[in-house]
Amino acid sequence: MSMDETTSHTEPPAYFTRLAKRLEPTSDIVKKTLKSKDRIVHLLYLKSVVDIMQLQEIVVKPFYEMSADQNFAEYIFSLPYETKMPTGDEEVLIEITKGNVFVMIDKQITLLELKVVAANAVQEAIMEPTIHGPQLGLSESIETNINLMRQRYHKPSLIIEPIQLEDISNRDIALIYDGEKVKPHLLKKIRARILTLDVELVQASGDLQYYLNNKKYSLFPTSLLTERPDRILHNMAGGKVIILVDGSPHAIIAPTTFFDFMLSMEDAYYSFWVVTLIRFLRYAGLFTCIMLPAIYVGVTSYTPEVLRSELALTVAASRIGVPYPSFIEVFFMLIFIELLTEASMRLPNSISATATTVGGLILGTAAVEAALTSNIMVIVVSLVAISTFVIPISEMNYAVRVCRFLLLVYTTLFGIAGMMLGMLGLLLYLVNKDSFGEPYLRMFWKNRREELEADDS
Amino acid sequence: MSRFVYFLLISNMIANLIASSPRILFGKSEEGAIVTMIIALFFGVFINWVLITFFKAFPGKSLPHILSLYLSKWIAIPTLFILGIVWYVSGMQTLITYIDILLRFITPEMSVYLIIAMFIPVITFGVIMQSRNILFTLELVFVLSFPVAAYYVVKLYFSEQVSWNHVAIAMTFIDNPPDYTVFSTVTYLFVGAFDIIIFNSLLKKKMTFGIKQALIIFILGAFAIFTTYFIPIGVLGFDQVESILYPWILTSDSIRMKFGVIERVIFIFLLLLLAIAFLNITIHWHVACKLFQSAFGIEQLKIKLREKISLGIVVVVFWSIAIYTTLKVTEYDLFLYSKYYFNSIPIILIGLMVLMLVVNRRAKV
Amino acid sequence: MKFLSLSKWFLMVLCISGMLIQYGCAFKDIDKRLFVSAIGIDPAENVENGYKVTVKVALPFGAIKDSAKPSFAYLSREGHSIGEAIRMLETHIDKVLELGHMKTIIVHEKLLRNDMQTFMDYFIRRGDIQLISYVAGARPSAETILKVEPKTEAPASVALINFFGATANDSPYVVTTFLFQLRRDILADGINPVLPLIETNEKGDELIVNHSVVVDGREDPTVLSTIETKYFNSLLKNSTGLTYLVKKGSLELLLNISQSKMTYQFVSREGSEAPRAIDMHIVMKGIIGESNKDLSIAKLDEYNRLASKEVKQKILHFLIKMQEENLDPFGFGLHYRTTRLYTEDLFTAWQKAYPDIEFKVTVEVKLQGTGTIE
Repeated sequence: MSMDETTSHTEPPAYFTRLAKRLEPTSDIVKKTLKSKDRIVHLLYLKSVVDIMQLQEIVVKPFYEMSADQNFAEYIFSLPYETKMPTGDEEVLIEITKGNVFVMIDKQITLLELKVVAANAVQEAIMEPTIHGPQLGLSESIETNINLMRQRYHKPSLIIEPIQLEDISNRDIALIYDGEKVKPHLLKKIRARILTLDVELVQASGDLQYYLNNKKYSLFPTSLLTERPDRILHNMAGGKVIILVDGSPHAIIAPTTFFDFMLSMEDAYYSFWVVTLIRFLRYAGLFTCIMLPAIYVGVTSYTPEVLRSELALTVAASRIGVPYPSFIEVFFMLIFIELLTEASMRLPNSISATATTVGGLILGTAAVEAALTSNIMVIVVSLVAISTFVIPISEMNYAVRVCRFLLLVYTTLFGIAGMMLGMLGLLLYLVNKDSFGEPYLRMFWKNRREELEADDS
Repeated sequence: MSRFVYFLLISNMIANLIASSPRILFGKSEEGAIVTMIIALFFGVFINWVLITFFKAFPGKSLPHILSLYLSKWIAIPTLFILGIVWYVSGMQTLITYIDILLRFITPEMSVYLIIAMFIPVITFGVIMQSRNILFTLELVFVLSFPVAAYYVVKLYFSEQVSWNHVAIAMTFIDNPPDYTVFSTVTYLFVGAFDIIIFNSLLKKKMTFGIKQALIIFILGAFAIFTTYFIPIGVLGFDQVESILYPWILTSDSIRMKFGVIERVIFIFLLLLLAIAFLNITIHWHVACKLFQSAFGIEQLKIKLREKISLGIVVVVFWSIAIYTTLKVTEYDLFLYSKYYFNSIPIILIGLMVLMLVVNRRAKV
Repeated sequence: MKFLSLSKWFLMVLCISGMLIQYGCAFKDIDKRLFVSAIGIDPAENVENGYKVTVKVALPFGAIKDSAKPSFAYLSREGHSIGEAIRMLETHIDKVLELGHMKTIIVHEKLLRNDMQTFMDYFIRRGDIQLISYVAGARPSAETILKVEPKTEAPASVALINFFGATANDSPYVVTTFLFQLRRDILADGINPVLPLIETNEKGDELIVNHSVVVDGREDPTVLSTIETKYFNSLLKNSTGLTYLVKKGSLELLLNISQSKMTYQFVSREGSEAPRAIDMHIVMKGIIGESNKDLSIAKLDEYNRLASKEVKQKILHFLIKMQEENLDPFGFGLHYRTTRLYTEDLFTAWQKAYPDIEFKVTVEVKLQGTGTIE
């Protein structure tokens, strides 16, 4: 690109001044003019995002060490740091704010990517810990994350596709996929969905995921948020698309099925029988935490014949003196346990243990002593709370917690037959859902790919 | 053959356990039930063969679509309309029976309106769902309930409560002449696969119906008939078994799980059947809904809103009739009307098969 | 889309309004229900041809583990029919009388006649009564038996239940009959149902179950003695843990039978369908449990022969006694019906033939050892 205006040697050219003006009055802006003999170079950058040492090494030092017959401009343009020059002032400014150094030599301009990112340390995986898998998750810098991907997936078909979102933060978003495995129509769909998003500000993968969902009242997540590189690669190899947002240590995986949420990466690292047992436990936990409160209400208040006689008497005995009907008791205890979970999640680790102890043990016992609730109820609620945590992905965890309440309402109204129908309704809802056009819940007997192709053909 | 066809077939067989069919069979237990069951078993395999062979020629096309291609409107529309009614009644029969069972065995104090209200949202949601998703749900429910169902069946057969002497007595009536009502009732067990007149639009792979498939259907059918008929006789006794209204429920109440979480098997049975019955109603009504829609030519409507409205009208009509009938019908009526309904089934099937033959001829030309 | 969401809202409002109108009619908390654990039926004293119904209600209280004794409440009422009596009983208590956990039906000895069909009908017809509840006869009366609270009874469980169904007590002297079984056998041609008979000791703190009753149309039902009950159980139900006392001269052997198997077939009269004899073969396996003399393991064959002869006599005696009474607890008639294709006079032929039928019994005792000592 060249400039039309003729300018004097020392004064910065008008274009340069115009750009600089638009960045003002921020304090970290630096306008530098390097001058030696007849050579003049103008630099414009934000010192807070630029690696000053590198700038010194790469641009400033050679400028003064180079002899007159050498062409400094040639040198600069041959540097590997170059970023593609966008058209339009606005875009150039965005590039500068991202950490590029705007270089102007005579009438030639270029952008050098010399950014420095403070938060590029790879973080430990907290939400989805495993014993045997990789211990580290993603970092908050997109470059580092892409680097992590490339390190673990050596294939030329791994494609990183940057997307610029039309929001106010101009954050970098990248689609990552295996070009050979991904379905083209799926990729097109996801790309279109991102580009048509009409949002003010995307902060992290979390809210992007919410916007991608495209439905306001959607309970179950249709894309998966993960911090584990092994999960990302596992899904990428399965033909899915990964969306990375700069500044967020989580990646979005789309599309997903229900079973993806029930998969812990640990499953890949153990032997078959162990994994089978763990999976069985996990699904048992899922059913327990959805159905148990409902079963309690349905059985104790509608059809106590279901229980064995001894158990029926024990339950009846433990409910003696409890002033509320069973469903209020269950609601009360469930809300209590939800509060406890929420509280211990938000508190610092050292205090949360105390909170759980006080809440769980002391309050639970006291509530039984005071005949506000029955012993059996406390057992039910604790079982529910524990089995909720067996679900590996926290979004599914939350969704299930909501479902539990819905099912409880249905059972309270209609008894155990209502519980069964409520479960079927839930199943219908899940089956009827889709994630970017792919069915959300269905059985995969054969290879996943074959099944899907059987539908398409 | 697609696995979904088997699922449809099996779901219909199981749903029949609670309906009036066992009672009709027991009523005729001294009048030729056994011979007729054997005849109907072969007929059942035969009609499935005809069905699959016909649809084999039209992969990915539903019956309304095929009819509109090869037959004039004057034949196609009444056919679809009649089939729609048959399918609707089939679903409604299961619904009414199950509501009756709920009232009698699970929540006797509950009002019938509340029980209907319990079904309305879930079934409505199921009926207006995409056909593809209904098949997936069917499969999932099968997978989820298979362990329990398998346990239940094994428990039934190996339970010491079953008196095989009574079963043997029932078999001594083998030399009686066949009976039409039994024939039609048993034939009804096999019509599950006929749901593909709509679902075939999703089954795009070409189906085959060879010896293997025939054998599977034969074994499934034989097992279903044997279980439906003989197990209750073994548990409840041969003499006066016909006086029991819900033989299968009393049968499962007679089976005991000595060390189970629940001692009374009946609750497992009822809840399991609720799932299957629910699916059966949903599938049949979905098929009926699609048939009516194509009979009235609603599919041609391009505007989305109108399609939704038509769907809404169909659902409202379905429920109004179902609620009215549920409230009016007595147990005896239900038994009687079910009998009439079953009796009409073979005739309708034969009519349908003749129609298929005609279409097949025309398609080949 | 808009219409759909509208219809969804409509449905929701419909459901909620429906629920508001109807809500609460079936919702009853478990502590507002009283669980009847057993029911006793006696002939009424004041009402003619009526029944006196006594229910044993298990009371839940405080901490079950801490309570030493179970607590029960007993309610009685007379009425023309059982249903009526139970309806009236419901007015005697402050809670719902829940019959879903009723597991034992005890019937006064005198009422064990064929017309017990009429009141058994009530239990079958009610949907909520378990068909797997046990039915038993009672001596001297159902009420006394119900009110016995044995010392071994644990809280939250009923001793009457533990006797039957082989969950706890597995004695070969106890016959178990379920309600559905009773109905089946009463209605079936060719078999007489056998019910256990519950008695109590003089102090009234023990339950004793070692007799049984063969139910038939007659006024006074035939009671099987302890020994007969044992034979009945071992032959028909293959009960284990049986003992047989064999005497030969001064030698007395107590056999512990662990397995017994009965097979039989009908021998037809020549030229006609009617059966002439029943050819019965019984195989028993076991060990010698007690002896008054030293035994030698080499002589096992001899003991076998001895035992076979003894057992054969006893069984034959039992069978002939039943035949003389014209009772058929083994269901020979039922089995006979399965061996021929159905004809209308098949069963009448059997009924004619049964009193004169000949039993040909062969018993094969296979002793496996002499216990832990010779």
